[in-house]
Amino acid sequence: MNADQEMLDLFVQESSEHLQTLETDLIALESNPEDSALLNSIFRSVHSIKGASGFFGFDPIVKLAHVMESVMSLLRDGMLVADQAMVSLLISTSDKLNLMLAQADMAAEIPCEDEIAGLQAILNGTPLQGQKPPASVAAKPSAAAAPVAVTQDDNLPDAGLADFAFDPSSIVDGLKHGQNFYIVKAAIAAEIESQGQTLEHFLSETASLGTLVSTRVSLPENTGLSDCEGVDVALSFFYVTALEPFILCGALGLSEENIREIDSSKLGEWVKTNPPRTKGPAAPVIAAKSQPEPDTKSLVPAPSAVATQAPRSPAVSGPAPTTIDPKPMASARRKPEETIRINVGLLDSLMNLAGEMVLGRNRLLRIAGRSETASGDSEMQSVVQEISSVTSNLQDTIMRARLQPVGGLFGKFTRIVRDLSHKLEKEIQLEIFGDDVELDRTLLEGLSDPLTHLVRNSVDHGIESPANRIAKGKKSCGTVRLSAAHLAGRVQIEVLDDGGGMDPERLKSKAIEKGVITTDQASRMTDSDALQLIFAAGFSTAAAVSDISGRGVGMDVVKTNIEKLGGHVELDSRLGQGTRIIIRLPLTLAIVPALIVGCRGINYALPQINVDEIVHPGEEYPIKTMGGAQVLELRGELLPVVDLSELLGHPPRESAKHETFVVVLRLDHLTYGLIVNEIISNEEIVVKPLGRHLRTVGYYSGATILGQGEIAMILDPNSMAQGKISASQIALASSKTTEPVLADSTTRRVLIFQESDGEYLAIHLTRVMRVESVSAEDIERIGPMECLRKNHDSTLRLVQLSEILPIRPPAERKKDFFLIVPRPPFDSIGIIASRIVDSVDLSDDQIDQATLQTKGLLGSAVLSDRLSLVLDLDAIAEMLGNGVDQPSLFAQGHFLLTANAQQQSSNAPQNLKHLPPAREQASLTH
Amino acid sequence: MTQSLAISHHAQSASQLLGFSSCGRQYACDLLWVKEVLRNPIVTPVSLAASYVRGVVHLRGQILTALDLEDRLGHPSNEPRPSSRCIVFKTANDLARLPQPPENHEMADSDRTGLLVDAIGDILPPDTRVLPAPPEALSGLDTRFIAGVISSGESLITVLQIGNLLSISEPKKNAA
Repeated sequence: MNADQEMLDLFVQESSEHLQTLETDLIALESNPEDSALLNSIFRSVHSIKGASGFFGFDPIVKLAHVMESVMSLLRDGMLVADQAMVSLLISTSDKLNLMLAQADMAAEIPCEDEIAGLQAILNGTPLQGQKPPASVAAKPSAAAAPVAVTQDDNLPDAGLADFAFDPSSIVDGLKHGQNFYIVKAAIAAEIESQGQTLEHFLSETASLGTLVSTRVSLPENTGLSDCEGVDVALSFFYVTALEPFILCGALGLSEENIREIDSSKLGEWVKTNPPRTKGPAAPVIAAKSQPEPDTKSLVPAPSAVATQAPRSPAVSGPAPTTIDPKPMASARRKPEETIRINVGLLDSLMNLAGEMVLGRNRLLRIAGRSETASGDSEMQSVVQEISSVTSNLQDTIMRARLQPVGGLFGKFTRIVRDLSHKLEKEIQLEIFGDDVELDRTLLEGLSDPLTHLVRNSVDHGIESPANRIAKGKKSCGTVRLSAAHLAGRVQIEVLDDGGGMDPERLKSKAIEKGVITTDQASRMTDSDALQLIFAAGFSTAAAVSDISGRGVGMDVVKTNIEKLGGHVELDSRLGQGTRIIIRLPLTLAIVPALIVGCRGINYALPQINVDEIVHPGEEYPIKTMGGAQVLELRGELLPVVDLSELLGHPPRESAKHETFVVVLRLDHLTYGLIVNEIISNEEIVVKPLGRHLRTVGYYSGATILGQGEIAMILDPNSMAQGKISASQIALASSKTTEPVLADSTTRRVLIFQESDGEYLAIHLTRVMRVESVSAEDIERIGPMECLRKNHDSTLRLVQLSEILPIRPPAERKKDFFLIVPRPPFDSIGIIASRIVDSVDLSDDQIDQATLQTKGLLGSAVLSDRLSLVLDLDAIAEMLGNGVDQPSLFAQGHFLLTANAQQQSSNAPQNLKHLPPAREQASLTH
Repeated sequence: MTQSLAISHHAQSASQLLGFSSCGRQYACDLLWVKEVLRNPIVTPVSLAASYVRGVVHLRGQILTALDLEDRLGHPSNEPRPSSRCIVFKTANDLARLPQPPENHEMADSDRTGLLVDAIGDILPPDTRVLPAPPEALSGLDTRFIAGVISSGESLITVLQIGNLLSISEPKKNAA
């Protein structure tokens, strides 16, 4: 039972794969109706589905697949040329097959009469003619119609066939489909088993490639039963297949001497003279399949179904139907040998084991480090190094095994775009690039919906109608391009169309109408900021979109979904030229960047995606108590604050004031502060599920294992907010939060820092992800580049601004300094700063763009009573070139900063001083 | 541990039992449930968890939930008890692979769970006579978790019902 179910699952899975190729091929067929490789591939797919369904006894599927196959065989043999209507019919047939396969047991209940009738009409209305054997045969009337004992026939087309007992009817089908006939001989031990194949496997392989008409096992002569042990048994069989000889050899792992091809025209001739003996007159058998053999037709009056058919035209009977393109066949056969199906659970446990090995390796490295100082054992060192690198490789490789090409996902869009463009009467061409780029399968699943949304938007709202396009001087056929690429350790997926683009002014007016922004804000908004409006929650509803020549149905949902996957969306649009949407995703979901915080000596992980900033409460950002609830005053806003230790039920501490930090967590509709005792580190963590006894504790979303084997619970910012933030706190916060995020686009906060003792530099905080404190010892040099190794697969490239900007170089770099890490996509660089000065508000109007005009700088401004240079991060990234991504669009949204705690110019922001050295190292080595 | 797990038709103890002790009391459980025993596990406490959940243990890349046996049986104690052994039980997946799964195997968790005890004792043969558990009023133990009692010389060994012990149900209010 179990084995049956497994077989059935395998059948459904394989058939769905066939259907997938089928659909892609059919759509391609529409533009290339005579491509023989395509036709062959379609034919094969249908044939495989039919064969497998027959094996499982799914008759309705077989029935439908059979008619489709018949039509395909006509198309393939050039009897018919597919027109659009026919392709549509074939596609809908393939849909029906898909439906039937999804519920194979209930296939009979799925109505497919229309398809069958339509296909049958094609079959009936076509000059169906004999494809085999060649016309010359027709000249010889088959006089010898008398039944002949097959195997004793002296007239066999090949002497080798005398060894086999078979019925001529068994090869009629093969002849009709122009397949090749072989006698294959192989010694079981010497030629099959020596290749590492079992006989069983060999036979099943053989059976899957064609039809075994007859088999025969022979012992060498003069071997009796008594001494047959140790003697090689020869297996020979009469075999029908579509494969060419050399491919067959390759597929079966035999040499060409093992295979003899039998001339199929001779065989055809022979069949004519030896009609199938079991079924009386040959004609009804064949005619029932509505594919009559020409010669039998002359002998026996054709049944009515055949009689309606038009007489054969000599022109179509010409080409030999044995033109199977060997290439696609070969590649189709190679596939199963290169890939195997693995249970995902097995891969996950492999992942776990590899992770465990990394931890063990780290411990080993520490011990080896110690023993070297003691004994100077360099042999030990080299072994440890070797194990270390093998372990890293192992982990990488297993991680890669979870990846799947995006091609499968992209493939479904050919269909969506085709259907949608037909419906909307637009001409649209879908271009797909990079379909071999690989992504974690969970990510692929999560990406499917947002991407469908984006592609539909492009087709629906992006591309204009042909008339409209021509009026604008564009080609009538619009292009939607879907591409995927690896960029800086991430995957970038792009949806690009050359449609109408979006009008910032109309977006603004729509946003004002919707109450998302005020008129005043709109007037100050730049065009690129205006485009971001479509991501704003509450901006886009279906009603709002249809009259905007852009897109917007649920773009906020797309954005949220992508961000849930740890990714990030950008949008660029030029009115009249088109729209480009870029999605950036991590390679895998299993690893999440997290902020590790400490509370009463126990470590907890907070998902970095929710962390906005870390604040050191004090004079500038006081924590106040209002009606029993705590709030944090942060730049004019009041945020509700939750104490983590209170939340976790620890008794209040007696000692009055302890070092605390407030982690500002941003959720969809709420931003709040979480009081913690320690900020430990930034780490990439692997999320592990919790057992059922802990799942009921709401505040944890999982657990993770940190660098040194200790466990940290992962806190869930959502559920922490739900229970503990009172309605009054929220009301308080929202009443004071007068300005929404988008409100003030011209005044932004900047971080002022110095690279050395020289100029003051300023960078917009919205572009800064975090500030790290590093020591010079952690820096590695790779050629001219300086890098900070963070994890085994991520490095930060250090940027010394004095090398690319006209500022004074430092006399000597300090031993400890800071790295300013920009937000993605530039998070692979770290800007060196010796001192963090301050963070202040800076209005765009304050920036003097005239005095200093250098690439890499937006201009200068007077900040904290000193002239500061305002950095242009996009330009800097461009100047750095390799390894850093192209300039991105301005992404307004969350920002995270670690260093804004102290107003006074302390050399190090207070919160960074607390990074314990040991822990930091852990995050570096893991 | 042992490889051959003889199956007897004896109703009460069909397979071998693993003996262990906690707080001076003797216990036993069906050996088929046991995956392995950890020595001196490092338990990370988890705030807000049920009182019988002592915390989590890092077990070769996986997170194991460690339960406190005494608390689970209704003997809560306020002072921390050092436990030197952790019996790791098989997950639902592991048990499904057994040809003859133990009683109540359907109650196993899909994630690893362990029981903290003081010491591991002997393995009792499959034909050990297991007496029915005394009523709750006598023993003061939550009978849901007890499969029976073995009389061994002077002392009694309590045979635990691991399936129930691992399931999520809260201890009865009157248990303590």
